[in-house]
Amino acid sequence: MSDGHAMHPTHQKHYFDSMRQQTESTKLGMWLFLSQEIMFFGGLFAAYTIYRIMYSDTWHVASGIVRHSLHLGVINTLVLILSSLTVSFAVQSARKGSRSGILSWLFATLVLASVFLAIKSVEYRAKFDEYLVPGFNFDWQKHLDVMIHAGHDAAPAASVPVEVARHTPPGIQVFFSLYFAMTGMHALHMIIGMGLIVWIMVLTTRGRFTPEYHPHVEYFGLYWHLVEIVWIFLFPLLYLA
Amino acid sequence: MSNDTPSTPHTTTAGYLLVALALVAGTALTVGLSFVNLGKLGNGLAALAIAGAEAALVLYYCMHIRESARIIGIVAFGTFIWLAILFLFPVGDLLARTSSDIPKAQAFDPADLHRQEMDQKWLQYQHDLRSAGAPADAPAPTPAH
Repeated sequence: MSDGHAMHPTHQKHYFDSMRQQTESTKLGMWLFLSQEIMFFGGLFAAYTIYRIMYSDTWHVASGIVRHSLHLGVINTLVLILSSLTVSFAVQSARKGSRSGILSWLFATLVLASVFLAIKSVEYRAKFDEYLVPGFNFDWQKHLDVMIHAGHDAAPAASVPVEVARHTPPGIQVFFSLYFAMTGMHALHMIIGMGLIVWIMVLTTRGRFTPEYHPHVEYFGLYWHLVEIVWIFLFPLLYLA
Repeated sequence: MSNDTPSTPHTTTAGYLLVALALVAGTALTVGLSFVNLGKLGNGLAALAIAGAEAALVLYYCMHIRESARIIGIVAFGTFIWLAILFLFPVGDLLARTSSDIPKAQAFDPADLHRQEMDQKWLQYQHDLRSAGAPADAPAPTPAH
């Protein structure tokens, strides 16, 4: 063969000197993407921090409400840790060249991600039923009635004027806006990740990957682990604040 | 240079399992500590410290910083410097302000004045509730007026 492509491996782009250089370059590109993802979520975390300083008492009350579903938060944390493990094993399978390994571990990740989102939607539903969705149905008075009815709260003591005890905490809608923005963005990243899993599974069945060339699997692994790291911080800040 | 010696072995199955176990233990510790009163800032800082350690484990072992070229580590580390700037400047600004630095909007609407007054009473009520949650020998809460 006289064309230049015979000179280098099939997967190597002609503008790279070697596969090694290509791998290092694309990996750096992926990390720069992850970097801006961290800054993106960082903006939300910074907003959380600032409002938490401004409305510390409200944050205490609000996280007490989120804490009602602490068990769901803990289960979801464990589900996500497990999904991170299955992704690691998928990457490991790719490095060994095991096509069935990639497929089964990615499928397991897909199932775990669905479980996470299902549990999250149960929590969202509960927030809706408790009148806690800002801009949609937020109503603190109705919320208090639901809480008292459910036995989570007692009616305010007689020593406190009802008007004070039932006053809408200042900044409470900011907390729940951030709650939905942060968990919603996290969930969106998981949904995108699930789409990527399906795409990578299709590529795997088409035999696109070799032990030397499987960047899709490697970089998806990085993405998924980052999504896990975001949750590692979201969980204590929202459920245990 | 790590660039020229791709010899750092990959994270093993046992390594991934150990990291996962550490994350589960960290989660259990975080939840456990949330039931202990460590002071107003203590609980949050403890939870963040554990989360930070967990994130470091994931970055180093699962995201393979350990076995990557040095430039990857620099990018990752650099990101956290940017993140620190993002946090430190606004938070520092906020903490350095006193209430007199913040211009108050003129409240012409009586409803606004009433709301501000109620906010204050609510905060006092929360303060009383918290002191009531203090040790049993603490003075009884004073009802809000």
